Amino acid sequence: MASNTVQMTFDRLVQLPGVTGAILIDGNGVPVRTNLPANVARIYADRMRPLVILARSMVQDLENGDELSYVRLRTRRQETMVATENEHTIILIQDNRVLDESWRSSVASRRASAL
Amino acid sequence: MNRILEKVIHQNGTIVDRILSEHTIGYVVSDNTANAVAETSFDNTSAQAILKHLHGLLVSTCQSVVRDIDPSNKLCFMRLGTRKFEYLVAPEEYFTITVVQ
Repeated sequence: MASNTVQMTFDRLVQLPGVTGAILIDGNGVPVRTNLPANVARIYADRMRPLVILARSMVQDLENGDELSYVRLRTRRQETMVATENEHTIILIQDNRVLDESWRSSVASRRASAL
Repeated sequence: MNRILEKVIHQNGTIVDRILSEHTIGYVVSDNTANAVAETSFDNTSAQAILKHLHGLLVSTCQSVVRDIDPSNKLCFMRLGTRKFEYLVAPEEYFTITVVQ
């Protein structure tokens, strides 16, 4: 079973703004936790795995000793975040509109506190 | 410099300046048709590495993944976070732009 650290990270990430789907994948590419239907989670897990493997090797080639933290793919309607932690991978699907609103209000409050 | 690119940069001067000033290490703009670096602040070796790895392999893989999951969808923007850097990648029709910060 997944370590407590990864479980806690997953629980925390699921509460980010605009999260419409979340999947926790173990080192063998098997979804172990998700709030999506099992078949949908499986599709995402299968598709994202080669992407993560490629991104990891790209990052090493670009800069010796560097390591992948996450990939964020923004598409027309949603943003998919793929984060790696130890052997595990966490996939988050977030709604663009909510994400943008959240970002804007965060920028606005930073400006307000700077005044 | 490519004429189209020159025009785009000129028209968006304010935005370009802001992108380049805030915590930016460098950028690469590549021509998708020629698969070549069109403009960059890096040395040639670094620019070529970004062109080959990010603009070539990784962008096309991400585009395929997005299409596989939903054929009506499309990759608009990509961010690659590593321990040392963040790569911001915008794959457009004629150019692909990466800013490293």
